[in-house]
Amino acid sequence: MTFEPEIAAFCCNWCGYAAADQAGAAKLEYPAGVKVIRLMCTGMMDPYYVLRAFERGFDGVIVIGCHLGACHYKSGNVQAQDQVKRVGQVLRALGLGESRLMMTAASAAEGSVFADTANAFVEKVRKLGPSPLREVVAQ
Amino acid sequence: MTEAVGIQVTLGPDGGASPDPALRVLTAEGCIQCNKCTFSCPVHRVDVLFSPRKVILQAYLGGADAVSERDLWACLTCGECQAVCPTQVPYPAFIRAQREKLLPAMERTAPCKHGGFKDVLAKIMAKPDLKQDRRAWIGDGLKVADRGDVIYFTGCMPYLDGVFSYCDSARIGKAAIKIMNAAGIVPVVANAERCCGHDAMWNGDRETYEKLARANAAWIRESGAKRLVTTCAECYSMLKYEYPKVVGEWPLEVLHMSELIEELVKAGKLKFARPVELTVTYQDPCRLGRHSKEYDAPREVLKAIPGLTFVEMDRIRENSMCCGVGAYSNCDAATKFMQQERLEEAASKAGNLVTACPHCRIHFSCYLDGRPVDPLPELKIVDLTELAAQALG
Repeated sequence: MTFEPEIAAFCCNWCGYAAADQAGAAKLEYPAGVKVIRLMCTGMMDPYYVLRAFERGFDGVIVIGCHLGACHYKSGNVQAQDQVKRVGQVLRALGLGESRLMMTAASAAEGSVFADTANAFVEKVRKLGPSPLREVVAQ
Repeated sequence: MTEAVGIQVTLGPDGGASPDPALRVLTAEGCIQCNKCTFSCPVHRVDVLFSPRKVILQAYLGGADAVSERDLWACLTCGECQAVCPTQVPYPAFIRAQREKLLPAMERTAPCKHGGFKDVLAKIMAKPDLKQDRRAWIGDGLKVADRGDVIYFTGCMPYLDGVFSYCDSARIGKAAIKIMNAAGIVPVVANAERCCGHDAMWNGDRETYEKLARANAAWIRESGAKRLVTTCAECYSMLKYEYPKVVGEWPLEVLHMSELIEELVKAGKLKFARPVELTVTYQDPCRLGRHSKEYDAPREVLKAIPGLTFVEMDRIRENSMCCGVGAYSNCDAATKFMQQERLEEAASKAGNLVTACPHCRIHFSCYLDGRPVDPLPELKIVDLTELAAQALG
């Protein structure tokens, strides 16, 4: 059986999630393994959420927020960048590697950016292989 | 009274995790309903509805399930109630057993994000195929080994900076290695190490705790080391008193960093050359103090540092106030008031509060980093190991 990466995509309500919606409305394709989880703002992203996703057996985590300066709550996306950078250290120490985690921005009108990002990230994770924590999770 | 045994509860002949034998100890031989526990309880000082005595009475009258979920998670398991109890009712152990029993029914995820982070970290580390890189924080010029007689058990310290940005917890580890190197010890820092399981055990997740304990015991036995040093009061109480109950015979000598420094200074292997001109006071961590009965070693270390003025707070040793959070399971408004009270007490005595547990340091620093309820005088939270490393020059 070929390896199909499972990705948790944390999207903010105002941009990332709207972009995912837009991608669907425009009938753009992205892999089914990308599971979108809506947050009000990426500023509430916490290292806990990222770790929880990996503990549950996800192979990668992607955080999609507003463009810099366009955050609905002024600076949530900047906080998220800081958190993602920090949790990267944790993932490296755990032996999962930082490259399984990525943060990017997509405005509400950028459905194509969402689909392209999802496709590219899934390909990247496919090359990295299944997460070392994945075996334990019943699929 | 002199034996240092940690918090223990006499369980039934199976020695198992069932709370009911513990309950029998409480009701048949223990609690006389004197209410001393309630008046010493740091939670009760802030939240008058919480009373350890009441919890025991409810458990006695209405069976074990009568303990409310709120009471179950409000307890800090700091052990102050047991310290003042005339019949030595093992209240923290009772709460732990209750949490173990009720956890499946309550589906507790996490009370706060920090608690959730620690919980999930422990669960990840309990998984068998893990290739950790636990040495990234060790800077240049510090010597660690793959094999040797002394293990430096770092616990969750390499991961703490991923969340607690205001703390720089890795400094404690660097200081510990610096001190050991100065005394001619090259400690083992192993990538095979796992979380000690403290939070998992105290929050009732026995399955994860036992997995972690067995994984740690396996690599520690295989390494052939004779001594294990830790800078964390929680790791210390786990490895010294709790692991033998799970992993059987445990010939390892477990030392807290303060005990090692005290020993090295007395043997003349470590010399504090540089005076540290500070006024400090000392917070007894519950896991090192009341749970492990180690009150003197940290104080001896503070007294050995030249230039240091050491002032005691009013509530010390077995009467020491908790830092406000136990096992990351109960950070709330009550916590903030406890921390305000304790930090005011500390600030009235000295400009620096020294602790011997990285988690006390985190909880107090978190409070100072956020918004204190009332303005506080200038106060710094310092780890004992950091302070001792400063004195080395």
